[in-house]
Amino acid sequence: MIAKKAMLIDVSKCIACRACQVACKQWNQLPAEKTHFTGSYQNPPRLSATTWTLVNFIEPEDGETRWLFRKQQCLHCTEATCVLVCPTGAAKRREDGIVIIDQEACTGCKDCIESCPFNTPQYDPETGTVRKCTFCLDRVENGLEPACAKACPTGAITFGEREEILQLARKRQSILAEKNPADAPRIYGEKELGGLGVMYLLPEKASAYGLLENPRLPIRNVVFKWIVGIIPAAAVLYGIRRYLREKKTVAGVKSDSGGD
Amino acid sequence: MEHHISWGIPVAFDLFLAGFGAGALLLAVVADLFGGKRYQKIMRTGAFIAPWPVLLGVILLVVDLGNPLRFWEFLLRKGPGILMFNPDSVMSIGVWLLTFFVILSLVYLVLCLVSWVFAWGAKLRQLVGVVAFCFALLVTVYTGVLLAATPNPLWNSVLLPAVFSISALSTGIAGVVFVLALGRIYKRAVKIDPFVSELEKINSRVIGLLLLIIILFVLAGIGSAQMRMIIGLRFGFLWWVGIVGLGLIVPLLFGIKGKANKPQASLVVSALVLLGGFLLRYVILMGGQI
Repeated sequence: MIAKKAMLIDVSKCIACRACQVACKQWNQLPAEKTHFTGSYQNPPRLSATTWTLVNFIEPEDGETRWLFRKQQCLHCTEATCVLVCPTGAAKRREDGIVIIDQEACTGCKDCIESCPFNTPQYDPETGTVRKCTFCLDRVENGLEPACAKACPTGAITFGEREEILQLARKRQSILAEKNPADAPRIYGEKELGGLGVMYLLPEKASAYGLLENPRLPIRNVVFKWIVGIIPAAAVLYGIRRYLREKKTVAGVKSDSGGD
Repeated sequence: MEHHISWGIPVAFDLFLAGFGAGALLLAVVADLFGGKRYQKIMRTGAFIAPWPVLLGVILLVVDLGNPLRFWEFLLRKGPGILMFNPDSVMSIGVWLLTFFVILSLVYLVLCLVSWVFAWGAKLRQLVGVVAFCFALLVTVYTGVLLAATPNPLWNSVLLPAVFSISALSTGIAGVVFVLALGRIYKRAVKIDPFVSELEKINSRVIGLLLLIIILFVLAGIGSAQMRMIIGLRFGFLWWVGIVGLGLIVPLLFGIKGKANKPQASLVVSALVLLGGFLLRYVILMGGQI
């Protein structure tokens, strides 16, 4: 059994310097994007096929002027929706928990884009494929940490084996809880979707950071949906069958008596 | 948050065309098995229509892929001879449903022609019809389940597959009426065939049920901003005039009594059902991505 890899993003340590964004672009040789000012320091405005990680600048509208920062990227879910919905098997989850999209097998059908509960995968019109964070697979396979973790100057990003990272998260959680006992930060991703490969330590509600409070597999009721779709259609067809049979009999009787 | 359009007009056409072709086949097989001689023409017309829209829809889907030349990745795994199938993936299920549907509906069409000309093969035709029927039923549901299996608040509804499957039946019936009406116009007939007005009467009921399911779908989803958008300003005109008015209410009233109309009227109304069926998919598909 290969140990699962994981990353902890401690948002309380993030200063939004965006070193992680730059390091990601450099290591993965992703081009810069032409952007424009949108009224926020968040830049580029959203993830794209060539921006795999992005520090979100969130300004809560609660009267107080402040910022919340969250490094957005693929969360490498254990129950990964992209892997489940991929019709070609291009999206796959490795034994070490890293979720990748095989660029040689991706057809660009975009089902994963529409299905990801975190809006992560992005379509690249240049390659005709869907691309996203690879957890710097080529670095990790050589015993290095992902470029973003390496570049982070405040220690907000740590990478390692999942059990160790979880221990670290709990330790940090108790330190922050001492400062503010009423409001212990949440370890987001410990259990969610079978455990996320990227866990966040969140001092405020997950929704304040643009995350789902309770992410769930969108395909979980799919059998029920098939059945609810089939039943009325089958009922209508049964109705048509009855109607045609009746008419046939009536018409048959008529033509019989007409023949006499 | 801004959302790019992943699935555009070609996908909207596919959702419509797949349902349309499958709906026509379902009607054809029911007429074949239970209609007797009186409804042979409905069977032949439905069988004649069925494969082509679905085939066209599949071609549109392939062309719309980021890498159209990799379409075989849907069918074959890396390594020779091993078929690709991911039972968790609604799209993977759909690929196989569509593939089998196109093949079976083409075989059914050939057998319909054979049994018409040579007066043999009717049993085999019905046997293939039953198998094709099962695939067709699943195809009509598939397009809705594909969208309903995403976290999109507009699409993730248990009612969406029912909306699409019942709409597929109504467009399939309308397609048969359309072709038969066209035939009557070509022959300069004054009135439509009596069994065509029976189809219009049936479709009026089907559309009544569809209207009911759509109302439930809208009420259940009214909490989402996207639902309010498709019935509100952004798509309101297409929704209320195109889909509800012309696509549902007009054909519902037109066929309610089942009296024989002029073929021109049947042609126009059946075309409205088809237009409404397309717009329904278009608005729901786009509304979920804006």
